[in-house]
Amino acid sequence: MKRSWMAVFALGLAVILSLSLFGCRKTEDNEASGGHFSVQYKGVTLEIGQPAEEVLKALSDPVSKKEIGDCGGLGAQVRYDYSSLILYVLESKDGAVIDQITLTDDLVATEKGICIGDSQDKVKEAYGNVIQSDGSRLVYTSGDNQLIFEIKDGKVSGIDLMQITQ
Amino acid sequence: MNLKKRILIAVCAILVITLILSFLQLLVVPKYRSNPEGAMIGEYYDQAGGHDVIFVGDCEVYESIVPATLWEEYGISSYVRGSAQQLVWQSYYLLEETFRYEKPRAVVFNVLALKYGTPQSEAFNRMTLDGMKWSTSKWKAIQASMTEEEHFLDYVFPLLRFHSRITQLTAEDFQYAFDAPAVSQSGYLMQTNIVPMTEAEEEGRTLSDYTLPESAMNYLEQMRLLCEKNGAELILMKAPTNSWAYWWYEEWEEQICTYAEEKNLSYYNFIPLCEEIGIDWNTDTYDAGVHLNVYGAEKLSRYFGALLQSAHHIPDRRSEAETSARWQERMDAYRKQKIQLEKE
Repeated sequence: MKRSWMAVFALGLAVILSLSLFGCRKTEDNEASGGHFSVQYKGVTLEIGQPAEEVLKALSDPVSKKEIGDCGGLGAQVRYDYSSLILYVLESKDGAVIDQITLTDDLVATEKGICIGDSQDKVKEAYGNVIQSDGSRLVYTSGDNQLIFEIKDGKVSGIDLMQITQ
Repeated sequence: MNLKKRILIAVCAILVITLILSFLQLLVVPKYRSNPEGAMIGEYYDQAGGHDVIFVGDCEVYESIVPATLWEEYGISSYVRGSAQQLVWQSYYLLEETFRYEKPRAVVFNVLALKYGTPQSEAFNRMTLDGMKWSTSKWKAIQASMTEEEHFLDYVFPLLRFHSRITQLTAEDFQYAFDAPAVSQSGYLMQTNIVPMTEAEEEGRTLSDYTLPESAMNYLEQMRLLCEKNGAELILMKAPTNSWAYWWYEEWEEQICTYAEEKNLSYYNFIPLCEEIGIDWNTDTYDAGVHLNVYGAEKLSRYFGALLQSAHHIPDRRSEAETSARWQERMDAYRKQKIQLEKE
């Protein structure tokens, strides 16, 4: 009888252990894609998906900072306004990453030297054939990242680096 | 030892193991006390039935619509089945489930969630799905909501997902393992803090695409058909809040207006109506304009309640003894919580 008890109990423990092991996957957040699009600002290279902490330290104080927590208290979106760009940072328990970069004047250029005010042709010359265009914007893709040029009267009126919208 | 005894022992052992596992599961699953948004979906079942209006959607319903005010002012019996970042397919399946419990005259859906066309995050999924009772609706909601990293079995046996919490258990986990007090008032999550909005928001972030995802719009259409089948009018709303992180774009507005017109649905965008509603952004928000606090939500509910009654013929049930008695209890709980939170 004792043996039977032991066998059943051992079987039970084995079930618990295997269930536990089955549940022991490591959950990982998506890693940054490390796309090729970037901008240089105050000597710092900024890319989408980059950990934000070091970047924010290097850039010193922004002109303004606005933070909005998500509804479940799990993280926050933070907007940092600098003199020539806006940095959007996503904060979560796993850290803070750069989620979007919006250029606001012609003092900052993309990694291929395009800035606000440049012609549409110059963009195409630098980035090649456009991936997607509806006349008012040129959209380029690299991995999970997008580089968007807003076009007005044939000239770049806005530049955004962001993740592809899900 | 004879066979009967052996079988008996085996059955007993299996029962003991099942009990241990069940107890462990109760201990390790999140209790959603510090972030109560995850506890609200499960609270519905105790109050299911007898509602003329059901609200579904994300934080913009459970922070903007106060069923207690709708009752007090208009005798409208309603419930908010909202949850944090509730995706449109989750609203659809919650509604499908709700129709098994009751037949409301109207269903109100907040349109902001239509911006998402794919599953977003396990943590938010859990806040909506874990509270649902098991049914085909929950099953389908999980299938539609899982991110690539998630597994269906983890929803069937949450112990698999949360077993690592066994080393991080707090007093809360033991206190609320078997029973937990309600965090909401008929689905409304009360906030009494006041954090003024210091400057008006002017624009949201640039988007790569301003088209509302096709999959989201398909679920909206399914929701419309589901309501039609169940004799409920589908009403669309956009809460009056409009912060840069949760911006309501003109392009989205046009798409919703077109859809509503094509399908002959009523759509209320409360953003341009803030002044008429009486919302004061110095006093009526608890987080600088992202959400309304109770004072703002009561104002919106008063305004919307009048519309629901005049334009959608939602009846006044205050003269019905049974309904009235049920709501009296809820009103008492609402007032008690408001006083308590205002003191804190």
